[in-house]
Amino acid sequence: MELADQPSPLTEYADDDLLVFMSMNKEDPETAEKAFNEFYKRYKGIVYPVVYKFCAECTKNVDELAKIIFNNAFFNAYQYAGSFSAKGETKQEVIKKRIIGWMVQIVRTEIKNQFSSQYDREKEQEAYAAMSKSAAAPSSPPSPKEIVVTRAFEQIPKDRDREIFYTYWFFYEETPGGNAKRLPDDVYENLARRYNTTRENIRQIISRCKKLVKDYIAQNTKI
Amino acid sequence: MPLPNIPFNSAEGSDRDLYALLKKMGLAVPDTEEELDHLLHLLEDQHIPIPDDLPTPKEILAHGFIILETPLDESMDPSIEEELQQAAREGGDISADVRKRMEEDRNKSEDEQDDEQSNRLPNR
Repeated sequence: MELADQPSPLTEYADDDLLVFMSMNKEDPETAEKAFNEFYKRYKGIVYPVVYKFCAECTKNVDELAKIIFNNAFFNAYQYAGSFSAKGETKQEVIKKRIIGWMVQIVRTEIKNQFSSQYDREKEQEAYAAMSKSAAAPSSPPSPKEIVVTRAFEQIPKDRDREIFYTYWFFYEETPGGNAKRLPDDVYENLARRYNTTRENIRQIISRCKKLVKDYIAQNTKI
Repeated sequence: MPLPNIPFNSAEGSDRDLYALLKKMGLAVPDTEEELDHLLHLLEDQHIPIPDDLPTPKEILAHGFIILETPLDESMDPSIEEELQQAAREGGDISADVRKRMEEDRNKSEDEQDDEQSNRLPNR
């Protein structure tokens, strides 16, 4: 019987308690694994769609990549469970939302790790602490501007270029002037290897796509 | 959720503006709780099925971190092929980038041949 199928004695514990147990994986691995089993049951149905959605933007080989990112995201959560903080919050609904945000940041880290050899997993997870708070927003149909952005991406003629361009945004960091910082060299190198092209082509594709998308949006949105 | 009134009124719209739009549309990873809520709403509408063969907790702990071994795109970049053909036709130089890729491909091919040969060798 797989671990996931075994009855868990930790079902009555809150989500953040499970993370505390998981964080003690060196001192009490047995309890940590049981807690991980329960945590997995509660969050796999939320984490997998997030993983799949972002992987689908990077590649047509989405199933394989999504399973790897899913594996790594949960392993990361197990290894670094102690990096989550409920910050004194006691409402389980709010804590759950924070855990989802934490896991989403982990997913980003793990996608980036497929394109980089230098990532610091612990540092990246701290990014969630900076996630600002705001009220939940209701779902709504796409606005005219969203439709324009979608169409702008459709102007990119090659699927490969579009996938490279989507992947680029996982690495986005900005300068004080609001423009993108240059990607690290090893990321260009790995993007080139992943997409079977050259580093120079990756640079050109990103630059060309950015111009094409911005031009299209500028021409089709009148404020 | 309506998008913020981002003034894309010139072709020089900033990267920040574009990134903000992508996050609002669930096309880039959210940085705020509002963007996260929006992403979760979008995912609810998309009904992405959960595969039966996802790694189990036991398998995840056994695997540790995994790196994808295969390229995300197996096809040869047409621009590389074009440069190689042009160099062959005109006897021109091949860029350092393409030369490096050629060396990598050659090494990979040689490794595969070595593997095949070693598999054929009788046990000693």
